[in-house]
Amino acid sequence: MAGRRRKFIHPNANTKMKLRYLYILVFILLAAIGCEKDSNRSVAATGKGGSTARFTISGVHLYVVDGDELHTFSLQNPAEPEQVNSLQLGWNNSIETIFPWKDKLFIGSTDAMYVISISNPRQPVVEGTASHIRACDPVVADDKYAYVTVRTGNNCSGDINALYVYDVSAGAGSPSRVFSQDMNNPHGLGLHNNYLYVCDGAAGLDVFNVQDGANPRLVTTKKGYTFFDCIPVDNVLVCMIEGGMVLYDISTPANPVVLSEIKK
Amino acid sequence: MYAEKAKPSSVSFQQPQAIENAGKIYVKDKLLYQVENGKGIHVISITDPSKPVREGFIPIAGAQEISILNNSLYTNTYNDLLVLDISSPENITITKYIENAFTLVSTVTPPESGYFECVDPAKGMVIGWTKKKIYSPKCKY
Repeated sequence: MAGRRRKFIHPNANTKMKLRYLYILVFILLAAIGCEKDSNRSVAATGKGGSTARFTISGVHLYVVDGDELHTFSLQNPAEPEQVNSLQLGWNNSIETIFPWKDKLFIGSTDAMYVISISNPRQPVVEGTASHIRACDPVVADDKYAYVTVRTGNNCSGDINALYVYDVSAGAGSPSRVFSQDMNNPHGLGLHNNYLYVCDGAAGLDVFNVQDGANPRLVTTKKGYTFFDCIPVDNVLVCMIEGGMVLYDISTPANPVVLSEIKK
Repeated sequence: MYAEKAKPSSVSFQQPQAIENAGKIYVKDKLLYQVENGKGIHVISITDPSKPVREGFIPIAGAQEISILNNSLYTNTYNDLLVLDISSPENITITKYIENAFTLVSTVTPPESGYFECVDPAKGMVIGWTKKKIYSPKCKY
């Protein structure tokens, strides 16, 4: 009896085992596909540019803004990019900067900030627009807020110098402005661990605590250079200044300490 | 300003040069890149950020922008996209060149509105604009 029963159970158990193997196999396959997608997006070995850049790479695409358009190049073969899209955004040479964040691009122009979705990386679409007075305006952003400086002078018309914060958490539509503060002549900015570094030209480097992004608090101003843009990389802040660069240790983000300068 | 426009035939990694017209910056793998506006790219090692070491200079006419993926460096020579393989600095090669990929330098009007010297295509390609006193200008925007 026992033998018969065992015989009876065996094939059943076998099927269960086979099914289990199949599940495991399917799971591994799915995981592998997931990894591949991930590597396309984040593991790809790209560096970090500043907020005033016109070139940026997200995933395996290079995005370039010129005066009026956003150009998309596929980097499927990084050595030989292929142009796959051009999107008209502005007129009269108004587009100036591009900043990538996850599946979005934030584009600064002389009269607006554009939020672009790159959920389909080959075909960027405008998701939101925040219009403001005519001025130059680089952008940095995270999930919730976009930080924008607007400035006048040189090639930038208008008559305002300020730091603006827009709530971009809603995604589509026109982001609402939740904060504004007058500045001297702000250029690029960099975001790092709840701290925002704003290059305020000859007035210095302003460090804001942005734990509450809607309410940045100025914690210190570093002087001694004319600041144009800065890039936080790990615990180092690389700043583009008039005549070269200066590097700060930002392991204490609220208090940048000069490490070195590269000039002449 | 005008220049003869031509596809660069080769690009080389040269001795470090002085930073004169400091441009945009880019960081990747302990290397810091700074554009020398209109002239090329400075390459600086920041393995020890308190002691940066100037590694060299990549001359590229008209350069303003830079981005890197893996071993490919993307930059512009005026309005053309230039892709360099930088896997071995002593042997930089051009892997792709796309003419007129974008319009980073307006060849029609200067960046600031006002009177300007009309563009004369016979003089070559417009590579930039300078401010100076001109008499009875005919062009304005």
